[in-house]
Amino acid sequence: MKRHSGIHSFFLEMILVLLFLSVSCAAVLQLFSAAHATARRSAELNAAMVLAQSAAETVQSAETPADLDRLFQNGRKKQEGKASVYTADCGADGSPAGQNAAYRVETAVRTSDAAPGVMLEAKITVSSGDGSSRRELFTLNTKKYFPG
Amino acid sequence: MTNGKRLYPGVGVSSILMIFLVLCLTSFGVLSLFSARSDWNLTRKNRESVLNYYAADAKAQQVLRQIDAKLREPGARAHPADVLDGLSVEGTKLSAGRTKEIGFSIPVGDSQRLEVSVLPEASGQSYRITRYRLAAAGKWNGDDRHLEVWQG
Repeated sequence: MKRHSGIHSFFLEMILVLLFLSVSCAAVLQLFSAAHATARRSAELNAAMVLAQSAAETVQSAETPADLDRLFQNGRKKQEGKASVYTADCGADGSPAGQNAAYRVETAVRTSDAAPGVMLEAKITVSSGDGSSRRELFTLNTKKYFPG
Repeated sequence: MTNGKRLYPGVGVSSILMIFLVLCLTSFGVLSLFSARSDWNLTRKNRESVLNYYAADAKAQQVLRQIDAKLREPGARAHPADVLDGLSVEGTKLSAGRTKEIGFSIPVGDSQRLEVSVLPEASGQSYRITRYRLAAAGKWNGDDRHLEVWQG
């Protein structure tokens, strides 16, 4: 009878332990999940900033407005009103990627006549995801003046 | 636990192991969350810094445009530094030094500024950028910050 009572209390303890462990694990998983989401958001924003700065410095390195076609030759070019939009798809490490790209860098460049020279205004947008799930990560505006 | 010693009524080895495991998991979870939060705060500061720099850079380009326009005015060709010294362009004050360079600075956030200097060409038609750099906004005063150095 005493042995039977010992086994009974052991199983009771195990049930309580498992119950408490599962509740604790659920709470701890929330912590890890929040940490993972924050770390991922941080890594994405860092990568987006690096890509945007790279595109901005590419714009700044142009010696003439016509240089942009050569400097952004790895991307696709389309015309949207007065702005030329250069689109480049990049992998998670920032290298050029075709399909399954992690990031998309869109550089919309508008040239305005700023007498006596020319002002180049660029809006750089870095986004991630595909199609309808695409979300904007970082936007950077830059200008470059070319003396006349 | 069943027949032998008991550490505490109802508390066996499995309970102690479970408490240890939960404490470990909670510690690691909280530490990883704090680490991720710190990374995020640093990323936000970096973001502000990048945005501030490119905003200042864009403004500097606008000022350069105005300087270029002023240099092409008939009156500025002979003595460009004299004409542009003290002039306010796009809310930025220009100053001319002894070397005939025209300089201006634009604040980048609270602690830095973008310093730009241009040298008008002899023809008076354009300019050459001689300085384009980030510098600390305030002078560092180390006199009031004594370091506790171990003297041996």
